[in-house]
Amino acid sequence: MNTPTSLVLNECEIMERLISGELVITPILDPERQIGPTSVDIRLGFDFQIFNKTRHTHIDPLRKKGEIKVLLEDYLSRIHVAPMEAFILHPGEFALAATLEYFKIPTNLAARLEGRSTWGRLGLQVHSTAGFVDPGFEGILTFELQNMGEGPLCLYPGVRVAQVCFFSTNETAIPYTKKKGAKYFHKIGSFGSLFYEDVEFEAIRSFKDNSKELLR
Amino acid sequence: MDNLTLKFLVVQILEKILRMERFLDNAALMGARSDQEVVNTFKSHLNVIKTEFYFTVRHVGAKKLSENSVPIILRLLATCFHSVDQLHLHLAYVVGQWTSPEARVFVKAVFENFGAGLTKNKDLSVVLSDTYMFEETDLATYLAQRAGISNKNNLQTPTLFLPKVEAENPLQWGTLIHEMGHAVAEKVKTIMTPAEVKAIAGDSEVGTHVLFDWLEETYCDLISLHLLGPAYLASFVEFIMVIGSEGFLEKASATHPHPRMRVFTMFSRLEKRSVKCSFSCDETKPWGDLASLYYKLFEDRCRLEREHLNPPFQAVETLPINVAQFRTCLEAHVEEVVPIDKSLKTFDQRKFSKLSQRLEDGIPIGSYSPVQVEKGDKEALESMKLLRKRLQSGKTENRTEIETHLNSIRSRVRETPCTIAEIVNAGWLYKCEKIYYEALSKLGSFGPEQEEKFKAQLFSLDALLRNSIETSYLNTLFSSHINKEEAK
Repeated sequence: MNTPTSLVLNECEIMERLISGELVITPILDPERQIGPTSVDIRLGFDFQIFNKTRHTHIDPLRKKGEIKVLLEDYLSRIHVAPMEAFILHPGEFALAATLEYFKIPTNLAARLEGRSTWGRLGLQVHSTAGFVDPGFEGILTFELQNMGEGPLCLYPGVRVAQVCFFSTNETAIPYTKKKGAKYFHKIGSFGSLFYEDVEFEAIRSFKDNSKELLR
Repeated sequence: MDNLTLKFLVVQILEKILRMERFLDNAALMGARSDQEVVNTFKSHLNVIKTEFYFTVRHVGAKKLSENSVPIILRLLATCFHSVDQLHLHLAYVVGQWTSPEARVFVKAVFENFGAGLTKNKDLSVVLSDTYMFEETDLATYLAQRAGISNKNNLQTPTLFLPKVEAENPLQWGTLIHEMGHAVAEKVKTIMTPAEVKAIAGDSEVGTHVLFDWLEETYCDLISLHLLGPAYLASFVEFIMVIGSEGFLEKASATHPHPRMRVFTMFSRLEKRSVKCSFSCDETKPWGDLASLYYKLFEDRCRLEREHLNPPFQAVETLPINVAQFRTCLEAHVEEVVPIDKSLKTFDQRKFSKLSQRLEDGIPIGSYSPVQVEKGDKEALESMKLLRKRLQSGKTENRTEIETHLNSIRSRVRETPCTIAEIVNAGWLYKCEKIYYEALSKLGSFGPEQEEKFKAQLFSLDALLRNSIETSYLNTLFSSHINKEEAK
């Protein structure tokens, strides 16, 4: 009987996949520090997005997609931070940010984004709820940064703020890139939510439109 | 009454000056830190205008104004407003779209490679230009001349002008390197001996000027080729092919040798040094390599014009300079102009193709690890498997040995930052052999669908390259520190 591979990949298994080209994480500049026993440290990229206070009362996902895109432009400000400059995240603030690393995850691995204790102790959260990465994902990950601490945090591009661990799974039938409605792959930079593209809203939209027709 | 009108005029102009000052203060808040030099140049010039204006203000405010001084004051006020108006004409440089941060990183990273001797105390600004022209100028002098004021503080703002449509296209930023060359080209005038200068320009003062200008242009071409390799030739040819018309490609001017001579000089340098940037796809084999492709395209473009448009002039004959002699002398001194082979030899040309393949897969190329890009370094893989099996079987008694083993494999996945030249050359390869090739083959049925695809491919390549340039810069800064740490 073969020795079973572990559920969470250890450093040997991660590196084996990196060397074989099955798993892509780029850039890895400092593997000695970045690759831990069961995780890979990842870095902040250059693109940030912050939420503005706007004159709009809310964004109804049932509005036309084009209109929602325009509304979202009002809600979000993009900030590009140059190398060696800092983005300041104040207490209680929320911002989206890109990872410096690009990922190509094979169809037999899933990944999970986690914070690093170093930054966690300062109150930095790197995701609010969406830390899971599907098999077959390709692209740059988006951090949902929140400063839960008491002091402002200086965030420089290239700084290791998070880590990713990998789980082996049996080969998946449909990788993320082929999944219907997959919205966030092959993208450079941080991207805001595309919630309004979910098919459920299409259904509600068409239901409401039909009801209006009937009422007429 | 005259006095009242003059006073009114003074106050009105003062208001314009103050409003512009406020406008510039607001612009300063919007621009990034690195753009402040451009805003400061405007502010400094406005200050000169203001200082001179106050001199007039005090005269007008004097109790007695002589009859003779009225026309002088009127002229001074008109000149003052003209200066404000001229600054106003160029306000597009401080509001609206700023240069992308990646373009600034590109300029900074490339300029550092010119060598500390040349770039000491020089910082280049980049602004987006409304005309389709790449240019280097001292913005402080340029604005002062237009505003008709003296550059009193001897302010220097070496500035590159980047056409707005190329703001996001890193493959055309190569042309900016030529312009950076102008910022440091003073010394190139001394490379030819007086006898050579005489052989080329005779005793003509104009001819000597032409010679020095041509030499500077050649220097800028060669230093760009030295830093960027075939990608510079490609970006220059693409730029010149598009703007060239009515014999321009074979027409020399007092400031520039004709583009055909420039392209030939660059191509032959690459040929002699066998610097190839080869296409990897079978169907593109007839294209050869990047430099040959663009050289052929350029030559053919010249031929088409010659045969079909019959340019009516031979401008070279009108210049007081012996072109053949210029070429001979240039050939003799070319290594002094820029010792090109030193840099070009270090280009790993096989790497360009590998990186181009990565771009096709949608992967940024800010850094590179052969073991990952080759997709399977057998030796490293075997070594890794061996270690994994050993750990699985519980043979972990010698932890030090295991750690050494692990670290040796870890170091294999370490990526080194790609250079700007590698990124841009790989970008050109991918653009030509995939994006252009596909579009060319479908031109007969090119419709909205093809257009959409072409657009998507181009813009996603732009984004990948911009990301790669910025990441490579950051990686380089980090890597040098990490390497120092390792050495300790």
